[in-house]
Amino acid sequence: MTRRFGITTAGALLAAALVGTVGVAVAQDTAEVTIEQRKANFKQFGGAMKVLKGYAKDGEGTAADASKAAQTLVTVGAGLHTWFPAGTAVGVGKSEALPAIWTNMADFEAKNASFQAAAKKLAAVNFTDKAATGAAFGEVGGTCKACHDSYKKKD
Amino acid sequence: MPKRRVTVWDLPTRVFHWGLVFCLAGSWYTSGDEDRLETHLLFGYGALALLLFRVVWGVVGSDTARFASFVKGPAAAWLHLRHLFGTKALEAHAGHNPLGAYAVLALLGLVAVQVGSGLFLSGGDIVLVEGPLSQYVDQRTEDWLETVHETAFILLQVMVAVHVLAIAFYGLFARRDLVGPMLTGRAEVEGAPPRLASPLKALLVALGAGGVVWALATLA
Repeated sequence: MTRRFGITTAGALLAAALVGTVGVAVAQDTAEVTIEQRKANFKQFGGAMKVLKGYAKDGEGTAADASKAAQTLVTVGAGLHTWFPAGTAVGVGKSEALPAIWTNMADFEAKNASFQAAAKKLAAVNFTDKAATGAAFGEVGGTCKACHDSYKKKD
Repeated sequence: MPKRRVTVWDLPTRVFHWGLVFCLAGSWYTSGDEDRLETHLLFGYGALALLLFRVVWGVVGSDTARFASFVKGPAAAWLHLRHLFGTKALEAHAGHNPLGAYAVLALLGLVAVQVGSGLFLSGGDIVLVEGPLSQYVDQRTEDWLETVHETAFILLQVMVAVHVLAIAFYGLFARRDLVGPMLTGRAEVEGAPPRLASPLKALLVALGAGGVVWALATLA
């Protein structure tokens, strides 16, 4: 009887361990997908910033291109607060998100809010006004940098 | 057999060699820093152009540059190794020895993996800096290729160390200066001097390699 109980217990523990392992693996996988998607989104930001910099500083492209890029920052950026679920910090996949994000969430969210505001301001600018475009672009870049300095892993 | 001082490395091969040293050093120096990424890409394009040139030159170039003339198989490499550590004097042949041939292939192969993977990567802290083929792969593939890029560089560093140590070994223990000939092109060899290909041909191959890289770079 005792022996049988032992076997049952061992079996249950084994099953629990298996389920647990699979559970962790699935969670890990989900986290990695989240991180990939997040990086792809930030790459979209980078691409938009490249268009905007080319337009504002070197006169490349048209006002319409610049406007479209600014819209990308606003629409893609609107979801930014959902890109950082717990468990997606440095160490998981190719994440570059520092753990400080989750310990200073209020500050992280404030920095996100200033980015959102700067992006909206840029999207509303008159793109034929190069000086205004340049200034608004610089402001967006500043909000990117402010957040990266605190919360993005340096290479 | 009398020894004669002849040109063993033609100018194009020497320019390739030191150009690659420059591009690898430059891309190493500019790696891992988003602010230097654009310069890193330039060094990568330089290395790619040199690599393309070298591969074609290895088919149509001077004797000592041709793969068919210096890749002689594992048996010849083994024999060379035995001579190197044996009492018999090393033969004064022109060009890569049969063992060094494998080092050349390994180095060229690793540089190919290095620049090849780099073409698909992207970075930049705020403004995107991307390789010309980055737009054609998804994030997962790009992340994987980033690991390839980093791993290849570790292996490349190992091969460069082996290369440099081997040259030091030849200089110290086999009394064979390998650096001088790669600078001046000239060395004492037995037998007929290697046949040299025309510099005009080298120029055409170089223009072709440069053109391909230029087209690729403007794709981004």
